[in-house]
Amino acid sequence: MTRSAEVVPADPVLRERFEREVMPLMPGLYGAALRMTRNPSDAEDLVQETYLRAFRGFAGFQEGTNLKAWIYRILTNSFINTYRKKQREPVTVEGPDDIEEWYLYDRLGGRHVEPSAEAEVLDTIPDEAVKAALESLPEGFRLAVLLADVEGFSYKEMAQMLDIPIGTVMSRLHRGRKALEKALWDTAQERGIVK
Amino acid sequence: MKAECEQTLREIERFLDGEMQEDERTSLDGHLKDCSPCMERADFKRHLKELIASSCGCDEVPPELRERVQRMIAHDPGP
Repeated sequence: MTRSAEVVPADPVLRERFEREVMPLMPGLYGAALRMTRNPSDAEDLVQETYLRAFRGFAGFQEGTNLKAWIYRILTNSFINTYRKKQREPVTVEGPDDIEEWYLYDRLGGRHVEPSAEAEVLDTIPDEAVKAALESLPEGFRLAVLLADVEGFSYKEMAQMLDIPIGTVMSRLHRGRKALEKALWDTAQERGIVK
Repeated sequence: MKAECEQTLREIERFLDGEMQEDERTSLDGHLKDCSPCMERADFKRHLKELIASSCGCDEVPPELRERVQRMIAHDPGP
């Protein structure tokens, strides 16, 4: 593979490739930015910053490697380094640690005679309630669940993106999912979906 | 709960996340096929994962954001 870092600025080929390959990723990036910042105006700024950094660094992207992981890493770094610093707060990974395993399954269980009805109850929870539940998680957990379950990244990709060991990824993901189950249960109760 | 079930449920997230080696995956899958309570719990977690993906991955990009980014890139010296 040739080293693409040597190209002259504003290389029309790179520009065209950026527009063709990176621009279509915007819906996913915007959704992720919304879950991160929890605010449309900040999400727009974050996406804009991500695109600027990505465009300027695009010569360093090696064709054939994972473009999506590359740009989500820029998004995640921009969120942690720029956005969070502006808020003068570090990324929080604190959260309740005493949520039982199978929190949601055990609470939904026994309400119906049909097997697998637990899973069907999930489908009655509206999208915006699921989003709100995810957004209620402490950031470190929220990022882990977002990157794994919404964006489908592997543990290894997430470890690189967040600059943490794989064991930490797994622990945050597990604790994040438990916290999300509790948040979903709380919201389902508030909305009268379950009693 | 049998030890094999406990082991399976402890490992279920790594299984559903596609993070297992082939032999581990085959062995866990074998247990699920033989054990309907574990299978039901696995299905529940899988369903939950799918719900999160489908609920949280469908925000529409504001047209003005798209235009803003396109304008920014058009005027930037770039890579």
